[in-house]
Amino acid sequence: MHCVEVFNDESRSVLGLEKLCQSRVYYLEGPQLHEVLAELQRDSRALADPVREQIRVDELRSQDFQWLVEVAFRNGVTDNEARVVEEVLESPQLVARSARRYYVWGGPGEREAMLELAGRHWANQLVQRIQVIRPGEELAPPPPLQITPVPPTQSLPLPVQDEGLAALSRSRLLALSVEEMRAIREHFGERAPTEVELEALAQTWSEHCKHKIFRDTIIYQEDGHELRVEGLFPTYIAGATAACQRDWLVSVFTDNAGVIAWSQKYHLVFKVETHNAPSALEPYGGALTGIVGVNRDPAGTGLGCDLLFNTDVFCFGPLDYTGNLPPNVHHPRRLYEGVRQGVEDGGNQSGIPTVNGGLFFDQSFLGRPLVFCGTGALMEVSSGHLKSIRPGDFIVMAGGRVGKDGIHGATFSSQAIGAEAPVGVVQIGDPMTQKRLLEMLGEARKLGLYRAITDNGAGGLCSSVGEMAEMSGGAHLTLETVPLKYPGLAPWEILVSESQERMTLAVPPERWGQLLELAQRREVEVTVVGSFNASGKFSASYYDEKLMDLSLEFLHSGFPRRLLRAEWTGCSENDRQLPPEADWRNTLCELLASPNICSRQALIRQYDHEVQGTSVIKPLVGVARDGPSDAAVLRPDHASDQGMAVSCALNPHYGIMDCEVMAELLVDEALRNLVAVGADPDHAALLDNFCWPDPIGDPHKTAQLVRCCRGLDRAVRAFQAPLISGKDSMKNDYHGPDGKLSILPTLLVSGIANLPDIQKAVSMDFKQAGDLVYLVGAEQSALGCSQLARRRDFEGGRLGRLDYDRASQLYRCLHRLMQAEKIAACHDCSEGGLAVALAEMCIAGRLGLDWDLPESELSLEDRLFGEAPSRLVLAIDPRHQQAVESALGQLPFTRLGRVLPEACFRFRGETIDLDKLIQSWQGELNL
Amino acid sequence: MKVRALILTGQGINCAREMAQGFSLADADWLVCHLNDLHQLSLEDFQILVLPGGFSFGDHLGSGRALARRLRRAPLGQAIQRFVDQGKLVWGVCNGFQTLVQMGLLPEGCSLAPNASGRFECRWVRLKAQSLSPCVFTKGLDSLELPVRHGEGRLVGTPPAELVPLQYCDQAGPTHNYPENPNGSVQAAAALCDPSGRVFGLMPHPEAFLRSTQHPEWTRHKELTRRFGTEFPAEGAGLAFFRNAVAAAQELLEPSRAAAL
Repeated sequence: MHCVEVFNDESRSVLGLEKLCQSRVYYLEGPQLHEVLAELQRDSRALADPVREQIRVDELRSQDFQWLVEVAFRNGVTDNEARVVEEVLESPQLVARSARRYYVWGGPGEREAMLELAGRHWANQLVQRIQVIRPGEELAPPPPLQITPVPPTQSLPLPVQDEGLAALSRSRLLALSVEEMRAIREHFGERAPTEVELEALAQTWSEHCKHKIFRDTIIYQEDGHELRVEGLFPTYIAGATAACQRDWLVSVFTDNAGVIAWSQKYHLVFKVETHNAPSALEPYGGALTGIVGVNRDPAGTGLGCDLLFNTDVFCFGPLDYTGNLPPNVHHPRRLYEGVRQGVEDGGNQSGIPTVNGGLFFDQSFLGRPLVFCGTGALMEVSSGHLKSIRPGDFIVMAGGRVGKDGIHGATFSSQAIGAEAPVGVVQIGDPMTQKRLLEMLGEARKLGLYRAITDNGAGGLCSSVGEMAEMSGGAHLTLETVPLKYPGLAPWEILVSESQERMTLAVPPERWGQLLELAQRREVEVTVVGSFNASGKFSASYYDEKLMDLSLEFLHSGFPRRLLRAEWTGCSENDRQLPPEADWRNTLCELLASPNICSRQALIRQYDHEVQGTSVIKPLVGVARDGPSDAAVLRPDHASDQGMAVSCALNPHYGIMDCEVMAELLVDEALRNLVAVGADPDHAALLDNFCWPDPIGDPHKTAQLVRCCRGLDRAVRAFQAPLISGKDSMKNDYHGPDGKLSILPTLLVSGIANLPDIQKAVSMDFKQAGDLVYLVGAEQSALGCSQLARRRDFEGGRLGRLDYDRASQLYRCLHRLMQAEKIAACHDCSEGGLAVALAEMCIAGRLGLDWDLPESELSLEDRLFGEAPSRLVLAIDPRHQQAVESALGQLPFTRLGRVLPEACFRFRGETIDLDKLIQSWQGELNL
Repeated sequence: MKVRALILTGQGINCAREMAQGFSLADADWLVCHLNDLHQLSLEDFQILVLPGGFSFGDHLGSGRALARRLRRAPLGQAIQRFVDQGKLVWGVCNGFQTLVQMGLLPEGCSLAPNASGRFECRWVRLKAQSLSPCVFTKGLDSLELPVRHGEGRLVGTPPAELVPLQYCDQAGPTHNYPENPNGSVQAAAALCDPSGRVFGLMPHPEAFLRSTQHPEWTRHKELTRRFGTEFPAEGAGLAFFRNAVAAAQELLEPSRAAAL
């Protein structure tokens, strides 16, 4: 083994170290290495920049240091850099491994302290190993990969006793309940299932894959009344969409992503996923696989799509948290840095713009951060949204190889995080391999080389083939044909591994040759791993030994339905009043600077929101390009001015009072954001993503879930804004030595909508001094769970309530006014209320405002900072005053004042400088 | 005969589609070709070779390095050198610029290092064109705005001033201040060209500003032009680079006209 170190002269003094130099290291092994090294000595350009960097072979760059820290990936962890080294050096059978070296001067005196510092800032020991040496000591080269022989597949007789069943489920990380284990035992009868069969059932029946909680029967009790809900999903989610009379729905809840009709040429496709559990353990790898993983959902919808945009929403504990951290919990700052970097690398490298998102902080997310990643796409109308598979079609796996990384992801995420977590569930994505794969598949689609496609995500081949088998009526996998990253995987591991960057195709045998030729030309691996049939079975063999023979019926519907109990003890709203604020100006500045409101510019700038050239309304708008847009507008088709908008809404604080009202408020906010930029409220679709603390055995959390679904259902029906896709993550708890940390029940509502003409899109910045400023929508008391109430630890007050008829009329009216180009600026009132919305419009336009409010019975705090729904702020050219006021007619609106040329914010004669507001709004998050 | 541009794609290149759109608007023919299919065609049929932005090979060994190595390899490397020697145009944007630097087609001793901020930056910047530069792509340009989006765009080295055709500017002129100079480049350099002015690389993205509605402030521009009764332009400032490239390449197709000039 040889070692090449690439370094430059740059140094930094960070983390309290006097001096720190970094270098890249490649460990190389191969039969013709001497030639490679000789060429590198002559010309280092393959690995180094000749202007800025030098290389050393088999020696350290220097022996002058206090500590040398080397960080390298553990065996079997995806090493993208090493793969590129192998491609670039083009030497036969070359095996490369990458590492980083940190040369430290003026660091801690003790080795342990240096190791601790390195572990905290430069490595995650779950996936990387760290060595610390002093001058004169030797670094050990990476250990060789231990290839364990494949153990023979066992049959696992299922114990008669419940305790035995529970123990077996636990020891094999199956996450199956005793009831489910019993159902399996009864199904198999005399025969003992093989471990392959048991693993297949565990994956398929996991909460992650089957969403059992949303299908269970729930008895809901409130005030002595009892309600029996036959499945939350059929009753509320699918039920609400079915009640929407929208002729533009194309495919809902059936495929990997939701599909709506958009233009003559294209449908719009959208999916949002979470990757919470992996991100808690390894924030970078978890978030990276989250984003590239959700990319594969639209890519596997219909016959495939072209990816158009990404969205991301994160929930963390406070970034400045100074309390104790339980074992295995990363500090929120570290989680944030890793997650941000993961989504940055995944989105930017894939060439997909990140156009919309959110960031929310609450202490309840300390034990488990939430990482929502969404992807939108264009589906060609001509290629259609339907797939079909015929018996005899080949099962083809395309893309990356299978390794031990990502084994038990689906069952793991279906459990709470504890102090111990299995290493196999952590994985690191590879955007480059996926991009090659998806581009190749795009070409194959146009050539008609496959009949069906789906993503290999949670549950691996077991889930993708298991689901596709339903289309033909059966499937058989030959597990020994699956290409592996390294030998030594047991058949069950091959079946359930969630190794990334893979898609599964159904390929007609007569097309296989052409597909193989194309894939080879594009450097993408494709392999026939079995065939579809009509046997009614999902079966698998390993070198002619049959290891799995499951009926599709049992696999997909055999799991027992549970009866869950929900009990609602009432919502905590009341009429207590928030004590008056001393000076509204201080309150406004405090809110603008608060973590859940302040500018996200530093974060947004690290995501490419321009690539593909579709951007119309960007995440940041206005004179200084720092105004927060309500929604993104894209022009997806370069040949047309038709546009689309994308938005999101999330605020788990509202759920503290009532999850039912929270869901209604969030639907309203997602729609309102779309309307604010000019989208058509009658051509808008929604996605729901639930992240819940485990409701099983907890009647209160179950009741919150029922109520959340009911609120969602009511709002969807009322607005006729259908849900087209969704996902749930139901085990967001951390179990530590000091007890359980549960997240606040959280719902993310994402929206997409048509925008008939992008030239009529509207941004939120004030445009011109003299413009008239209006509040549209009714005032009401809504300080309950508001950002102000949270900051004052005030637990009283009420949540806002929806008047659906009036809100719908208002949104339609605004849309007509925007179509007529009567609105110069429009901004949503949400967190922080009216005063914050107005301040943001001033900041974005670098213009002032003079405004007032007519008399009312509501407190001033409520009127300035309350978060009543269905309200927006407008600015208009005074010449349009009559047109706008008469169009609004009987709808509630208030003329607030005028935009000022000078940089001041004046309310009822009291003034604050715009600069002060801008300064506050920059915040102190240090994103 | 129309000018023909060959636009590379594949292996992590992201922006071929937008580049193609720019050439369409500039009335040129174009072909988007996967790197692995290049051997199937002849560079003789094209006047412009385009390396679009992206993350070729994931930028893992330093941006552009792995792609540059593939393009230097025989016989493609020789074909590209012949292309340059014939006075044809080579244009790299962002990752394409980084690749041209790694290929050694731009002034020696210059390179692109990680941004001074240590971060990827996606923001619009103001640029000023250097009127004395031989660069054919920036001919006639003065001041304009374009987006940058890169993590490694800090130019290091000491390029001759005339080979820096574009500089990052603030109100007062070329600047080293963040964020107007988004990466800390020497000489506030946003671009480089070779002495012929026909090999050109830049960090900002002209292909991301082909239409006025791509500008971050377009809604204000539109609102104000409407109020003052003037027309809101449809085009973006980035299109000028395409027009200039096509005009310069056109001269190669019409040698008599070139001689007359």
